Amino acid sequence: MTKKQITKDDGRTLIYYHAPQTATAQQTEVYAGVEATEEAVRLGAEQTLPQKETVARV
Amino acid sequence: MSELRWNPILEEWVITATHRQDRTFFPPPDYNPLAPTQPCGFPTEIPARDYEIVVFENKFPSLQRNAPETAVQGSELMPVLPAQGVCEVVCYTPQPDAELAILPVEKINELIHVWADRFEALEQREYIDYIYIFENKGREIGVTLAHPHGQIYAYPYIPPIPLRELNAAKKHFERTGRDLIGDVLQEELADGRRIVAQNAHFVAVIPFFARYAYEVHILPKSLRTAISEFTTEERRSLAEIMKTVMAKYNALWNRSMPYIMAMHQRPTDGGDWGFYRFHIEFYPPYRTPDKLKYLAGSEAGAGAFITDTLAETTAQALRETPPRLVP
Repeated sequence: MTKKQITKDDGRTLIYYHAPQTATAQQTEVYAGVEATEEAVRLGAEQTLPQKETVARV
Repeated sequence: MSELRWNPILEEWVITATHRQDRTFFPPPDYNPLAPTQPCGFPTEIPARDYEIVVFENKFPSLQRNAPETAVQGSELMPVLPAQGVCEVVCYTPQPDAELAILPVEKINELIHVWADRFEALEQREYIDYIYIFENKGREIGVTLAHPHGQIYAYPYIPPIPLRELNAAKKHFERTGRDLIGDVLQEELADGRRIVAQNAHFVAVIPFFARYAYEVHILPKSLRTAISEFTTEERRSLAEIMKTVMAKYNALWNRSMPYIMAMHQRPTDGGDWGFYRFHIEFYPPYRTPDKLKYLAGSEAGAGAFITDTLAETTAQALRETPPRLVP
């Protein structure tokens, strides 16, 4: 999964999450068009134990 | 206006949030604030014509990043603090008539990834001591928006129920060297009568001490303290058992079952909570197909729950009910 964060007009944050494997074509297109105010981040990488160290940043 | 007022008699904070009186209340479908924004349509919370999963700060938050000054002066006995924290809304489907139980396991798995991501992000904030992920489902529970969604509250203190669990777990750990919820799980597995379902990594059980007729707890077989600690395989396993439980609920009386889903995990206050086991609790309010369990005199006024059912009986009913996988 990846995510993009934007700041709404009233200052609140909004995060879009995207999973290419389950998204529809339209959802993929919409996500691609989101202009993030923070850099897109990938998450959901394969995780194995021990967790405390490995999940610090996905 | 929002603030924290201390109740010295119960030793707990009460959040006042008067602006929530004006929050959106069951809007008509064309004005659903959790739907995608359609071209030339009502501008919703999500300014896009579609989405997969989105998380945004609540428009009517009980707790705020930039909390306003308190409206009243407190005292030493009854202090008042700004209601600093975070309240987020999690929309996991653009479909207004969907629900978690009918989504594919893969989609629930993605939601678990999102929960873990938000837990990791919010725990970095110095002013957050506890992150509570939950879902209110159904009018009976008091939802004000029909569109399916969950919420995340990040509190500047540990709320009372998790605190009681943590204190009990700490006492048990100091006495035995083991985690309390793990020991409860072992007794439930040994007895077996209250098990609803299980898979490789999780057990769903109506516990011995259940307060609601169909109160299911989902417990990990291994000690994990937070949603962010599960392996990829465990997250998938959690998604599967969550779907099983929710689909069994819907099958039980052939109706969409309302519930509160509460996720209990370790605090984020920097303490050592390695003895506390993550778990999820479901509280469906119905005790029969048409009778609600009300929190009345004994429960609301004395905190003493009275249940009209035996966990052994309701667990058997739920265990023997095949999951309903369609709306």
